[in-house]
Amino acid sequence: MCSYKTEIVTLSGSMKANSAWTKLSQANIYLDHPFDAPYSHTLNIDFIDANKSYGNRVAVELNTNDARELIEKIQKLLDSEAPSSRKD
Amino acid sequence: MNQPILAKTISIQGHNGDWINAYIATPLNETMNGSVVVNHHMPGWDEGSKEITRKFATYGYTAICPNLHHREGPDLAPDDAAAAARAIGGVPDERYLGDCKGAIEYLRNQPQSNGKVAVIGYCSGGRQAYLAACNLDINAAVPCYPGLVTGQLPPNFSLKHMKPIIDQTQNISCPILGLFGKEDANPSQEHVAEIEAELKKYSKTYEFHSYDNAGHAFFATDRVSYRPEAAIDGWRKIFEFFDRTLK
Repeated sequence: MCSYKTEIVTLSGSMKANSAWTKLSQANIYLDHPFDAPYSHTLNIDFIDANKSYGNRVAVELNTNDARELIEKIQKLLDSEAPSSRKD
Repeated sequence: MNQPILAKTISIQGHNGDWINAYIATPLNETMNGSVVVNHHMPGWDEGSKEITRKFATYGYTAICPNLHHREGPDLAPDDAAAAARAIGGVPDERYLGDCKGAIEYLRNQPQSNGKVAVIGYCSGGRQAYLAACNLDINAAVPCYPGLVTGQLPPNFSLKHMKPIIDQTQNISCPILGLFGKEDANPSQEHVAEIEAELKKYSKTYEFHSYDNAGHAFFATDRVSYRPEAAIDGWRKIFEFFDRTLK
């Protein structure tokens, strides 16, 4: 099936695209057919700088079980160890 | 299936007179032939879609696959353009119809054209094939596992340009061949039954086939969803249908 559903998250940070660091301003998240990963459906995330072409996006297509594990690990790290992000 | 062909990328005029890229495959024979517009799937104007386009030419049909994501970036890789199209809420139906109409006119103006044109599409392109049958002057349409022809939009649905089009069924003016996988969730077999009921209600000419052990995208040879048995029989059904409608 095509899910057609996309979640958009505004972000502040950086990403490395085309071998260079660039601003990261948004993530588009969707559960749908991958372009490359060998699964019928994957959790797909496009990290983008909204001011640049989609040719500069950083894209991931994750096995859904792996995506859940990733979320769990990120959540665990943030809950236990991460100081809050500040600009100073 | 043994026709020598010529395949290349050209520019055609689509919606609003915009020039967009299109991949065209032409049989190199001297006979008049029917034509096919191939709607690519949501992952974009990719290698698989172009392979399908060439296949039609080898069977004697001029086939064209417009880049429906051209405006999101004509020079982008298909996957990047598809990501950009998704982010704006999908391809607007009006824009698709303008691009498809441009492709149809281009095909009918070719010296080898017998004037008959079909539209085939896969996934979101299948929905667009159904949309074309409801709105454009064509001779046949083949929606393959078309999502969201009918059904309810999920809560917080973000593809603002995608909506059910079942209410346009009464406008269909050509025969329809619908191909589905029984394990698909969108369209599910309930969706297929709803579409069939609507076609019957308005006495439209159609034939539907739903395959066992197949889900969405069973024609896609480069994906794990590929199901050879369904795809082989599906291709046979398509060429039998075109024998009746495009010759």
